[in-house]
Amino acid sequence: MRLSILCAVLILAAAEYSAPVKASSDGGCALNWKLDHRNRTSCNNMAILQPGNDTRTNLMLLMQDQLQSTPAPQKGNALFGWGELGRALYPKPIKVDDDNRFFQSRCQTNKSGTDAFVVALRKTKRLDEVERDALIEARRSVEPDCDAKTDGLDDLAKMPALSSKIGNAFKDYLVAALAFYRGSFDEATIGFSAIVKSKPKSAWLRETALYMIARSELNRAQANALTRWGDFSGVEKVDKGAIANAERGFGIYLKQYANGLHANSARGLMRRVYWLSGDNSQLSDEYVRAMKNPSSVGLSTGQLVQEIDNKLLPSLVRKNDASDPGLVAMVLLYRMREPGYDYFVDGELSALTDADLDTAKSVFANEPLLFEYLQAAHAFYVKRNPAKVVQLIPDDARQQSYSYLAFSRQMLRGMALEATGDKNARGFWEQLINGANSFGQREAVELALALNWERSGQLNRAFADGSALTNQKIRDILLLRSAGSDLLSAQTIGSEVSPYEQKLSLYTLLYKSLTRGKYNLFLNNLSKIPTNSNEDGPYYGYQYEYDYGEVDNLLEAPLGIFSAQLDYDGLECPQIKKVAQLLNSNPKNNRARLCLADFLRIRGFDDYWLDNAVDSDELGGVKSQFPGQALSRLETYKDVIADRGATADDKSYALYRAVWCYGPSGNNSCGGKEVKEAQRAAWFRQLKRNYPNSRWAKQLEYYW
Amino acid sequence: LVTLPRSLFSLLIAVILASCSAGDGRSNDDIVDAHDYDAFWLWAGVKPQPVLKSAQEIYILAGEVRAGDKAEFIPLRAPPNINHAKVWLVVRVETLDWTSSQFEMLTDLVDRWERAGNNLVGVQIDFDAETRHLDSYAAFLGQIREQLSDEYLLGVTGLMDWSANGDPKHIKQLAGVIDEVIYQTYQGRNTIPRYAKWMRNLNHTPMPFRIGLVQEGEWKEPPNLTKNAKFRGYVVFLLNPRASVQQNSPD
Repeated sequence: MRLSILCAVLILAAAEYSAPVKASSDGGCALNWKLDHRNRTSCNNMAILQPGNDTRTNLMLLMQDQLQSTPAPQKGNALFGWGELGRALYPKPIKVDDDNRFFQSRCQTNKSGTDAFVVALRKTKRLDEVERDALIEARRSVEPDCDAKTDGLDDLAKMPALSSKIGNAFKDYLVAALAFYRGSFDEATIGFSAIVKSKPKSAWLRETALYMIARSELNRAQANALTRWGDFSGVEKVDKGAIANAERGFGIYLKQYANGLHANSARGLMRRVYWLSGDNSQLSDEYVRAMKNPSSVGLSTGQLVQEIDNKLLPSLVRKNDASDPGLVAMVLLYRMREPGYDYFVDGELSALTDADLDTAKSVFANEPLLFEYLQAAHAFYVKRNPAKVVQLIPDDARQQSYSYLAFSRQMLRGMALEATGDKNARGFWEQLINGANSFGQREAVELALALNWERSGQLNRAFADGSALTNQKIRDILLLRSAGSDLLSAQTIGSEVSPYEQKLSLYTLLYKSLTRGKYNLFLNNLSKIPTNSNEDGPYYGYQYEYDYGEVDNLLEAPLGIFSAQLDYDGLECPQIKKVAQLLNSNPKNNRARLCLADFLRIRGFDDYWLDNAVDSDELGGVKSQFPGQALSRLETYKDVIADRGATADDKSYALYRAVWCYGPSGNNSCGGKEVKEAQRAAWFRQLKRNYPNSRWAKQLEYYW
Repeated sequence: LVTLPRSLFSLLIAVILASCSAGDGRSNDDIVDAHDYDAFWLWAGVKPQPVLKSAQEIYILAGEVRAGDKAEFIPLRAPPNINHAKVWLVVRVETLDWTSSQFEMLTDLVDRWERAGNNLVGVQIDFDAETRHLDSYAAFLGQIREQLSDEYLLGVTGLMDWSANGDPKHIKQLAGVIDEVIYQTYQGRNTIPRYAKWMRNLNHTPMPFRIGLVQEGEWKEPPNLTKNAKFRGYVVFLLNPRASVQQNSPD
């Protein structure tokens, strides 16, 4: 049994190396907090069938609707990677027992093959114990690695002569197996065939030798189909005779041993035969059968989806002729991406048209709602005609629960209502959320609601008692980016606000009030910082940019950086509370302004992510309700330099720091309006000429 | 005229020279022409192009560790046989949730590539999605570093905004375990429109870095890039020609 599962997995793994892939080298993926994802990025999958989902996500959602084998768990994320969906829907994958060392080569089955061989020998009666031990020893000494020739052929040659017929049959099997591992496939095929013909008195030997004939022919077929780059050189390099033999061989094996030891493996290899011979229609039919019950071919749903994606999708994107509506839908959604965006296909495909959809219609005879959804998705993503979506998909937002197709239909309707400016959109989402209870559904509607509240300036509703918005990351984005000072202040207190959210709100309030000239507000809230607060800052937003929504990953905002003692390294400055007090009574106090700039510099707030806008179609991408512009250190220095009344200490320091804004890379890290290199040179000379004895003139050697 | 300090003067000369060489041989219209570069990625499903013959360094995708129901190491090509250029073995990684078996498969694969006669210089990890805490990524890379023989370099691909949105502490941890990072300026076939803005953040990169470009994507070298002491040049991601679906196309 072991061998058969092993073969199925390993040999299909071996089949992968010519597969086009869907992802370039990415280095990562940034989250885009919006509903409409037309182009694929790896981390922005949603529980909505849409073009921007990984093709594997869409197929898995459709299969989940069909199979319903396991109910989808409730808790999920609005945005996720396809693997996260797989783990959520199928938390207990089929255990595959593999020995992993020589993946992608026929030698990988050596260990399991040895075990099976030994078991078969032990089960064989009428075999002399001495002969059995000699055979076991010989089998164990065979250690092919498919690269070096350090196998056990010599030991096999040294094996003493065997007297029993069955003993010799096992020995013949060993010789043929070794030829197979060594890549002498002609020899292997002949050897295994002779064993089958001799009808040995071991069921295992009869069955396994028969299976190995086909496997050996399959390897012979592809022996010359690799380039020096290690990739598949194409169907034309496959040995036609050998591949036909392999197909016939696996067919005979499966007919005799439909539930045999190697049946799953043989089925997997049969798919490989179809793939190697470019027979996409047979391949597609095999997958359609497998999709109805993946475990019947020895694969988990996730493995099957992977294999379909690798082996079938490349041909289906050119000729979408599968007989299964789910497969056809997966390809049609893929084709709704912007042409040329993905290089999944070799070259470019034209944009999907209405005619393409009509051509595919017949396969959806029993799935009219899916076809209607595809038409609506085409109207929305490709033709940018949301009114058509509203027309096509009726309101059905009052269900207790939703299949992924039914949910996708309603989400698309909601998105179309928003896009057409329909006032009922919010009410629609508020109804839909009650039935959105499979993985990723509730969070998707929460994101929709958050976008709606944000864009209509009603953030208070999002944070009102009993609000439907429970996802902490979505709440955080609204607080960090969009909220005004009143809402932030309100969220810093109150028993119904979690301590985590209180701290995040206070952090945002303190940072924004300090950098946007609201010193009174800053001072009023400074005392709310708990003693011994975390000062490990500043706070970075990567969990909103990169992470998926695991709430446990959220970090406590480092409030301590506003309250802890700071050692200034430039001018003499008081602590930030005193600086804020000075600025509160006179915002033009040069020394206090320079001290605030130093505070921000030393605390690491240069180029701070919170001051960089996100795209306007994403959550947090509208104008913040917190008024004012972020402070720029460069503008502070310019003002002090231009102030005739500034002290020598302040002015020389401002010149020094202004030059350093561009050091050492030549790029400005202080924000504000850029200045030319000539201006930096002028500041440098001004410092050297006017303040030659200052500490700052002496320290500055270059400008940049 | 104020006399410039000597070192400043030589710095200026260096910048002028650098900008000369950068302009040299570049095609018009800021479009990446592979012939102007000597380091490339060869991804699975991308056909080798003649430009690889004169390459100095080639990053070849060997396999993927897929998330799926559980982490699975999927090979994407047989071991190549390339010795005219330095070869990096690239593994695309969807999950960091590796068991010992994935680590073992990686080191076995390195051995097989070495035995197949490649001029193997290093392993590159291309991490795509899943948890992006750079500290846990650094720990993960530390595990790989431990398993890998000292003769090999370890590199990663990275996002340009790591330096902006990543915690500098974590970036430093990363710098402690890897030999280089290649920042990506593209998604799919296209250069990310905002790349120019992000380039500023490279000021703070504590480790040697290269810039990853996409063949025929847009690229305009930012003015101060070559001044950056950590900058080690470019790597171009090769693509299949756009017109190759139509077999008869003159392209």
